[in-house]
Amino acid sequence: MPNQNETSNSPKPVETNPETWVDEYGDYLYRYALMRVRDPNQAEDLVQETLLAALKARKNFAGQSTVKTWLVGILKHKIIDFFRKNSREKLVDPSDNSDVELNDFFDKNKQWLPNAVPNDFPNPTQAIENEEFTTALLSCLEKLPPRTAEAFSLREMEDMSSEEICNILDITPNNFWVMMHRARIALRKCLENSWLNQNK
Amino acid sequence: MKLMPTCNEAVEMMSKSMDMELTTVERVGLKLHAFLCIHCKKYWDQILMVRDAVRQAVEKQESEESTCSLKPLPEQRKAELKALINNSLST
Repeated sequence: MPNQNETSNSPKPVETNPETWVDEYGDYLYRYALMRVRDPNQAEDLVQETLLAALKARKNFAGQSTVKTWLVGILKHKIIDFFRKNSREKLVDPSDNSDVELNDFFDKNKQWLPNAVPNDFPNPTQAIENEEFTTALLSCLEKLPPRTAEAFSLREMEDMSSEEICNILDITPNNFWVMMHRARIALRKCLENSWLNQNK
Repeated sequence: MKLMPTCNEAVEMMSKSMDMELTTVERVGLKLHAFLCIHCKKYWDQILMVRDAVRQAVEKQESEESTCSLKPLPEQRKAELKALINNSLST
């Protein structure tokens, strides 16, 4: 018994055991990725890339931060690289406008169409704290066109500047503002639909 | 541009104001419109609320206060990852 205590108290170089990473941080990293990229397979791949990169670089882990913070730092870079790669590879319309038609919201006089007028959210102040609201929000994010969702998560989850995001996604500032506007108008509408229906 | 924006222009400016500085004319026009138009005012409050909700969800997941109902890493993939790690540790 006393021997065990001595062992754990003896000074050791800062070390992390990769064999425990999957059990200790796997779920956490996966959820972190899933929130941002939404596609489960892609999120799994990003976790794998992160752990393999960490394995190679573990000599450099000097213990200034926790292992978790260090791994999340690597994962963040992997997610941004993934978005960057998407924007280089996919030859889609940069405004990504197929799924969000702004004409569905306003008439030709630029007034709200009757069926697009915003309805009240029930209990807006409590909703934010509500687990079901968060679930609805994340599933609404999933319905956005891919690049619009990428712009939205870099802006609202990573708190990046529009310049950084335009650079990563290879879009113009004008594309960016249009995408953010489409994301917000579509998210609000989707939340209104799912949240109102749940609370009827 | 005329001072008073249309609803369509107003909601565009609302979004823009969340990512960048508006010009003084835009800012005044937007405030005026939101003061007079109940629909746009509601829209503005709600997109700001959505922004807060996203930030809270991110914080809760990061602090492990909540899983935000996101599923865990599938067991099969966990086993594969462990094998992959053990493999490269032993070589």
